[in-house]
Amino acid sequence: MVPGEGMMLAQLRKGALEYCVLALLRDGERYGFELARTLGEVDGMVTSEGTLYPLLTRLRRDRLVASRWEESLTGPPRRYYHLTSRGQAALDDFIREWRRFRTAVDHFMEEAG
Amino acid sequence: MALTNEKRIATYLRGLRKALRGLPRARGQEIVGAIQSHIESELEGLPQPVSETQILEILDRVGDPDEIAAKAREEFGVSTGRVGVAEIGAVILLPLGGVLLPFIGWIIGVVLLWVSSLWTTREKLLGTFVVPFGLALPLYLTVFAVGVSSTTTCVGGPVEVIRGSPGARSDIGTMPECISSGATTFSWPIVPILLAVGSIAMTIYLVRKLYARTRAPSAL
Repeated sequence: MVPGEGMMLAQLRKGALEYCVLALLRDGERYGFELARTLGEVDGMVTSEGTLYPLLTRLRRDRLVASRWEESLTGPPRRYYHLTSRGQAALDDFIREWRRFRTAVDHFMEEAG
Repeated sequence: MALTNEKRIATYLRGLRKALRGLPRARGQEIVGAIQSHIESELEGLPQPVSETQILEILDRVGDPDEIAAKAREEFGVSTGRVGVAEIGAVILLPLGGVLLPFIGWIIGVVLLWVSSLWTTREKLLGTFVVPFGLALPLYLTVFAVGVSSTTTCVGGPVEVIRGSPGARSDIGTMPECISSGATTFSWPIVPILLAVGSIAMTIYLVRKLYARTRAPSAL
């Protein structure tokens, strides 16, 4: 891989990752570990599972997600994250922009051959 | 061995805490807690006892503490940006506020310092306590010391003063000039000079940090 490509991918990932997290919460609440696992399973999304947590903390601070604690039968209490209305709105905006962007880039990629 | 595993995890978390230093404390704690919870969740799903190899694999997957801290810094670190009213105000009022606007001036400077997002908590603490009241403190000490020494002529014993008409009792040993105040016991003029230098040096330090942050976007 060309060095420049690595950085480009990192930048793209950085921008999209938080929306991927929001999208995962679209269908219901999930706890941190679940999110980390799901993201990790998709190639190219996270470099390490731990880097998800600073992001989650920031999403909470920005009130795009909210959390609640639940006792777990088998282990320590878990923090369950869910989308706030603000988060839902941000996600909707992103989806719209992303589709437009994706279409545009695909258009030129096809032209290029 | 369970002990080694626990130790490994504890060492990892300690390294993580260290890497997160400099970030707002509550955020750092939240992240460490979340990752600790993550590791415990990983262990939960595995058949006990967990081998050392599995622990290492888990910690590997969680990631390098420095990488996590770098991500955290991206999200919560000191922002880089443009110098604004808060920063200019703080830099002026911290040293000079107490002088320009007694009592209020320096306090406003401190408020602006803490409101700004261009300095770390550590820098803000230094800016607040080195030197409190800025240049007003050494200035006050200077004026006070000069004032005291000009009215304290407490050398050579009580001053005899004759009051009233001849024949009246003279007051001896009740003259206020002989009261020695604490100000005369410090080694003037070293202390005010040190304080003034400290205050100016701290202001320069804060300005340099600002300069660094408004130049290079990610070169903290």
